[in-house]
Amino acid sequence: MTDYSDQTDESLALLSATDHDAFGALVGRYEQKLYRYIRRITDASHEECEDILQETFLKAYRYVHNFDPLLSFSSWIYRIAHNETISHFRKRSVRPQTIKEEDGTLYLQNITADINIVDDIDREALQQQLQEVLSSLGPKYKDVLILRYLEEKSYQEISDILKMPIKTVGTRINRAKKQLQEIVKTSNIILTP
Amino acid sequence: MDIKQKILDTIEEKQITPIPAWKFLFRTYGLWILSGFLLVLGSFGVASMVFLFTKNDWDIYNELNESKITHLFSTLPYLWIAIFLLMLVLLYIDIRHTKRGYKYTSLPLVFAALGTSILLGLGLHFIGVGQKIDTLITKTHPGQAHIFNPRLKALSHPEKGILTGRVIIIEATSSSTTRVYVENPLLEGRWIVIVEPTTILPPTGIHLQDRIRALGKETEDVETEEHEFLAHVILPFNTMGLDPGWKKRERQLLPIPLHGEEYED
Repeated sequence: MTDYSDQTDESLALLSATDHDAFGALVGRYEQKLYRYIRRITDASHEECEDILQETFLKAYRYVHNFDPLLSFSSWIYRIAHNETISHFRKRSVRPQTIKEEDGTLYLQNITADINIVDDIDREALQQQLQEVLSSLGPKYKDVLILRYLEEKSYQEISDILKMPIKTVGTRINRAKKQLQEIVKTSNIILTP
Repeated sequence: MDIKQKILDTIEEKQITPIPAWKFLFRTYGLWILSGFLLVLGSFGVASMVFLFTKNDWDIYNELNESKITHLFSTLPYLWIAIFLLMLVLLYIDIRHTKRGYKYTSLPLVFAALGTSILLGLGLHFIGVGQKIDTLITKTHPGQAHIFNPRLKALSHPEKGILTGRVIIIEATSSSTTRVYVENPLLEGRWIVIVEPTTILPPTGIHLQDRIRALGKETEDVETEEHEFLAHVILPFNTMGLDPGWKKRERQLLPIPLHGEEYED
């Protein structure tokens, strides 16, 4: 079997149309990441997430000629995963979303660093509050927060994944953070200036 | 079975193949071609609007006892405005659907589309496209032309002392009076503009197939029961009209050619 380890995702994507192994290598690189991402943006079962993941890769394969080499492959495949997840749950009309417990710590670590919360606060209490706030946020805010603080994507990548201007990404993240800060404030948590 | 193998097996079993590249290229270029088409259509609207605005009877609006604002609003080319706005909205939606259209924020995109349409429209106006469109509509759809050019309706009120029409017959009835038959699909019957020695005429005279505007008084020929209009002033249909120079000019009595050349107005 060919070794693709020195190939970039983008060059593998270009090879995929004619080389199944190259596509297999891409699947190998992204299956865990995308599975985790799908789990994060929905409350779907393991089986459902696997179905969505499989649909994502099959769609990526069919649409591989539509891949824009000016985009990163990662953004492109995340976009497909995001859209497939939305389509999958469209029938249910509501996309169930909660923040998974295992993600809570990472979320907390990243988001608190971003809003300058001092270190000596009760992190457990904050985590609980964060989960409450996040579950009350609409999907449009939650999607950007998950990509920013759990998937650790840049504004540019989020813009490419969600197909929206960078400015809108920034606005949504700021609004979500403001809401978060409001909660923090009303809960008497001290913020650095 | 791991998911990677499952996916590769599904591709194999269902013989899934990538959608050909040309289909995506077709869509990509198709959207940009459509954008260009919408931009040009919107610009045609701008060119027509600019043309109609410059020829909007600014020289005679006060003869119609109208204020400038009333005149402006009563003669705005609302259909062209609607067409222009529709093209702008479609252009916005079309660009948004291009491959990288999502990157642009709404306001700059709207202003860019608006600015480009206006600039292109002004360019088209200066090379005479606005006038060509107006002429084409008037010639091919005379009965509906006033929808595109509301001034045709505003100028079709002989009872208020204003009449417009296309010259179809010029008839010298005596040494001092000429009867000019005009065609106006917005008015019933045949209209005859009576030109007397005191009538102020365009410096270039009146020719067959010219469109003219006449200021004067409605009369009726009791014998023939034809609609007559006694003209005090006859003006070309399309003049810049910003300076009502005809009011200052001395009365001019120019010979009216009976077999004039056809002019595009």
